[in-house]
Formats: sequence, C-alpha cells, structure tokens
Amino acid sequence: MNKSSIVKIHNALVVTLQGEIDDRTALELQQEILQSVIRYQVSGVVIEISQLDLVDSYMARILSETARMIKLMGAETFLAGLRPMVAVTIVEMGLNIDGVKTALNLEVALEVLKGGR
Amino acid sequence: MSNRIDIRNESDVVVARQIARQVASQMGFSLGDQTRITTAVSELARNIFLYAKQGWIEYQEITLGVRGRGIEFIFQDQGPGIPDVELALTVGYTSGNGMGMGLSGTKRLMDEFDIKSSPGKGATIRIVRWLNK
Repeated sequence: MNKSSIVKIHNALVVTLQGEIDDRTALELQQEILQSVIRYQVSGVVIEISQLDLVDSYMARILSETARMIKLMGAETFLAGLRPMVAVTIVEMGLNIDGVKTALNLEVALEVLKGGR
Repeated sequence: MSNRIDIRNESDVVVARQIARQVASQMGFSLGDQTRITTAVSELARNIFLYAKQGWIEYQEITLGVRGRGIEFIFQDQGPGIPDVELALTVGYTSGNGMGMGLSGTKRLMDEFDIKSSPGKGATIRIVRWLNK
C-alpha cells in the first residue's frame, strides 16, 4: 500500500515516498506534487525516498521527469535519502538520473534550499 | 518444486516484488542481492503487464554443482513477443514506456539472463542469481 505524504515546510514541499508504489500511483503522485507546487507557491521540493527499498527504471524515469517538470515551473528539486543499495542498483543498471540534485537526507536538502535564497 | 505468480494487473507487479524480496531474504541473500533480485523481478514483471497484458512467473531455488544454491525466476507470456532480442537488449532502446534501460539493466543485475522469444508467440525470460560468488 502506498503511504506517501506531501507537506509544506517553510518554503519547501516535502514529499515522502513510502510503502508499495505501483506505476499508476507513481504517476498520480507526480500530478499531486506538481499541483502542490502551485497551490503552496514553494520554491523548492524535496523528494525523500529513504523508505523506498527499490528504484527500478520506471521509478527512476518518473523521479527524473518530475524534477524536470518542477524546474520548468520555476522551482528546485532535491532527491534525498537514497539507500546505499538503491544507489548501487541504479548505477549497475545504468539508469540516468544525473539531472536531479541529490542530498544525503531531508535536513541537508532543506538547509541547501534555505541557503540558496 | 516451483511456485507461480500470475501477472494480470499492475498490483500483481507489486506482489511479485514483495515475494521476490521475501524469497531472496529467506535464502540468505545479502541486502545488496535482495535489492538486485527484487529490482530485476519488478522490471520483468512490469514488462509482462505492459507488453503482453498478462502472463506468469515461476520461481524456485536451484542447485548446480560448483555454483551451489541459487534462485531462478522464469517470466512467461503469450503476448506479441520480442521481434529483435538483440535490439531489445541494446542500451537506451525503448519501445515506448520506459527509460530504455529495463532489459539491459536487468541483465547486468543478474548472473544469468536468457530470452527466448519469437514474434507472435510470446516471450520467456529466465534469470538466475547465485548465492555464493
């Protein structure tokens, strides 16, 4: 079951992905994130994925496209908290999410976003 | 004895990866290998749903002389098949919905990876990961 959440903290949107996310849910979450950027007028989005135990090619594509869409809208995205083994499989598979900024954890991402203004 | 997982809709892909992680963990695979196996199963189960609409997965523990114990998953469907297997394994090749890394990436995560397919007759993909390297 998908247990993800989207909350606004200061000037950023914090999206926590967790639970079992199927492909359709991933697309729905993408739409929800984009709508929330406008609704809350945030300048940054942190997608926190420390609870995800796998990122396959589909999820990698959704994450990377979401970051590009948010950039087009005028906000900045950080992917935070990748698990070591998730990072290993992404690299081994040759998945490309180079365009997405990453942070060690949510706290670091929020600090960088705050410092950027 | 092999076990079977039917793939008929998107939520079955999630079920398949849950079972894969559970089986890999019970067999004593490292966290890294559990993640590789689960990711590979996620990719190939999704392919069944995307390209053939339905199919099934058979999995079992295998033992082979010097290689010792391993886990084998066989993905079968009766969909349109893969017209050009070599092309499908090319990095960056996509027939639409993915990143173009699904098959080639999955192959890199596994110790063994074989595809049998002919147009109109579906596809059979077999993957193996050995417990001890």
